Amino acid sequence: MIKLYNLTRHFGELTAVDNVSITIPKGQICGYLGPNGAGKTTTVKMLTGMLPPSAGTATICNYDIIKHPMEVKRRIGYVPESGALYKSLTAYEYLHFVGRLYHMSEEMIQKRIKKFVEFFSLSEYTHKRMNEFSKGMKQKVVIAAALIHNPQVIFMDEPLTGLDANTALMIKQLLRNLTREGKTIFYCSHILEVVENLCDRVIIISEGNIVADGSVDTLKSMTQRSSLEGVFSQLTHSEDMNELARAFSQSITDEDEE
Amino acid sequence: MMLQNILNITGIDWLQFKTLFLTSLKIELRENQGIGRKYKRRLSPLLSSLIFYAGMGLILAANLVTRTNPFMYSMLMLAYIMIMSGFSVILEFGNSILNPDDWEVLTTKPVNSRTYFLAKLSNLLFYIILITSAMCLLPALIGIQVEGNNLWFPLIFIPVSFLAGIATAAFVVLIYTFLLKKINYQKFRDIIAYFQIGFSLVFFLFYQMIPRMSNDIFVSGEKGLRAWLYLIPPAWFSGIIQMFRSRSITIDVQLGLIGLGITILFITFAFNKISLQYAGLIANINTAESSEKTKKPGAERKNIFLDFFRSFLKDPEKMAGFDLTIAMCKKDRSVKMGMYPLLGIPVAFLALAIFENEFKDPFIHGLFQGQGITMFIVFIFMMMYSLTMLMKYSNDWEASWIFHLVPMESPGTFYQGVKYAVFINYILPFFILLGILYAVFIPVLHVLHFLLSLFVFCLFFNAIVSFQINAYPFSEKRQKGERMRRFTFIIFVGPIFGLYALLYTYIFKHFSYWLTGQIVIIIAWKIIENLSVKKINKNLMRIKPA
Repeated sequence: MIKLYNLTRHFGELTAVDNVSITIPKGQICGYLGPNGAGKTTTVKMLTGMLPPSAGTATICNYDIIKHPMEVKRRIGYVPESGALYKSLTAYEYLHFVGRLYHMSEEMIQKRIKKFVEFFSLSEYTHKRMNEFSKGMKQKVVIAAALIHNPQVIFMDEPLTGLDANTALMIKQLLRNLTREGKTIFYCSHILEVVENLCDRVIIISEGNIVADGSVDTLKSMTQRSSLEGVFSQLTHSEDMNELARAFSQSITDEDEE
Repeated sequence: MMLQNILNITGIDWLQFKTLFLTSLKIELRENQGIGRKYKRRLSPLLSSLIFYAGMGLILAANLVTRTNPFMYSMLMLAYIMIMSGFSVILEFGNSILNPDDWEVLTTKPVNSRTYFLAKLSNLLFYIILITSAMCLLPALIGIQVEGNNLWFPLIFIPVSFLAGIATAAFVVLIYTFLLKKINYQKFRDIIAYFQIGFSLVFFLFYQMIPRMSNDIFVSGEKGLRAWLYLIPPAWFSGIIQMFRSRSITIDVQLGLIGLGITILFITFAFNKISLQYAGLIANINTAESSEKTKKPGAERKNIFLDFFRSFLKDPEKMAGFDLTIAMCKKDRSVKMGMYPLLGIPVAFLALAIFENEFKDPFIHGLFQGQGITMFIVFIFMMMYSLTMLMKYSNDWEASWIFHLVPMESPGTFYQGVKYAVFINYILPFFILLGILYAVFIPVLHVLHFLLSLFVFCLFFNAIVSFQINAYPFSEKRQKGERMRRFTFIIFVGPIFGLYALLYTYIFKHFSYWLTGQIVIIIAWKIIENLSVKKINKNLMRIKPA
């Protein structure tokens, strides 16, 4: 469903993503982890057509992202990390606008909007401008906009940001159901517990390179760690973080005491 | 239906085009209304821009109606329309065509480059038609009075004005896209920001020089200009208007055909070349943003000039206001884009003063020595007002929550630091420039007296306008037309400051008068400044976080 062939992206002298090759089959939730600046978002932006790759390519639903970008875009949904949307519009207007861009029929748009706003408990806010929304409410609209056209592949970059525990639970369950229906989900996150619970497979990227790829259990046994957090620390060279944090907080306290 | 079929044949998705165009208009018009109650009480920035454009058109048309023939009247009015259309695309509506915010929302949607481009171009043309209408309607009616024109004139002048406005906008878009292919978007924005200084200089000089030149050159010397008309774009469009008159001559037809040909060429080029590369261009804008190099810590150069003036600040809140303003003015492109158009105008007035030989000793000739120098002084005050008011806008306005969180004792004191930074950064260099120019013509001691009196009045004026400060610095998003509203304010309120010049005419008569005047104004400034700090405290502490 998603295949990356030596995908590479340079920003000036910096190589953000370096020769990444992955295959993600239909119906899988694949967690994509890495420290800040590891290349997660850059990978997603290339796959969704927001950034052209410097080298290599990828196919989504057997369509090449460079040769057939429109075919790819028709089949994907994307939840950006920034939660970008047009805040001057109402939730209804925004979802309607997105539905139109996907050439959905008027009847279908209305039906889907109704379903999504009910699912996300947004019914009473549907016709309010989103610049009055809380962060969590906006995030619900962003997720609804990514799913409204029922895409085959869904890219999610920190999708649970700002959501309350109940909504987060609902979304996680929704994602599980979607994969059961054959959708493929590419899930970027820093929240390791969510990835551990949700994803069938975890890929860890560090400094633009894939450093681990497998199920959570495989990675744990490979690194002989009991949690995904431990695996992540070991593979991304961040093991001395506890010691660093302790020394830092101590130095602040010492300064105050002086 | 026919339009829909034509668009589909040219690779444009009608449904997506309609959705994108209408939604972008809805978003922009809503953003223009602003958020919150305070915007409802005043004119929308777009509406005040339209009034400004109509007012300027009216003044220019009234100035030209009895002095010119039909060709020159149309040419000069079209020059105004084309310059202002270009100016407004650069200043206000450039974002309609190149908006990085669209990137994350739209780039992942299945919208082809040509559809996206046409929707954005249509959005821009909507504004161009709107402002061209404001600019051309009154001159079209006044133009009937030009000797040789008749009642049919408006019917030809108005559509040709639209055509000229559209051709200009298309030209600016082509230049934008050409530049963006060659250079990084951030460099491009810097170029546009600096270009605004030059543009405001040229525009205001043009505005001042036209009445002076119209008698000498345009009426009597039209024949001498003939060969040059082929190189002047407004002359091409004036040629189109003359083609519809029964008494048109060969040159009119030639110019008209050039105008039509160039417009068709621009539009064809835009559709065939630019539209296909447009989506890639938008992606590059954001790539440039991600790849912009960041300086290493410590790589920042020290500015001895600023450090010197900063050393006078003792209050930490004042210092914080000063540092924030200096940093934002230097780094935030949206702040720079707001301020730079203002900087060319005083230079234009100084150029006018040099042209008119106005640098005379105020102790002998009084302050009111000519239009250039008077307008320069008036504009320095207005610029100080404008810049101080502009400090509330930034693209990073959402970061203003910090002002509501920190235990700031006196926002008014904080704002004194902001005003001080504005003065040091932008007003003081003009004082120095004026001093240097005066020093060439009059004794240095008199120059120093003169500059000191200007400085004292600046302080006094700044304290008065501070009562209007109603937002934390960099805490609001700019609206379309906001800059033009400020221009309108400057143009129409400017003459009030003639009173200042009159006052100083008496003060400069004798040194003792001068000295007494300064002392009185300094005392008044101190009282008003203290009151304004209290007023700012009251205004800003009332504001709730967005």
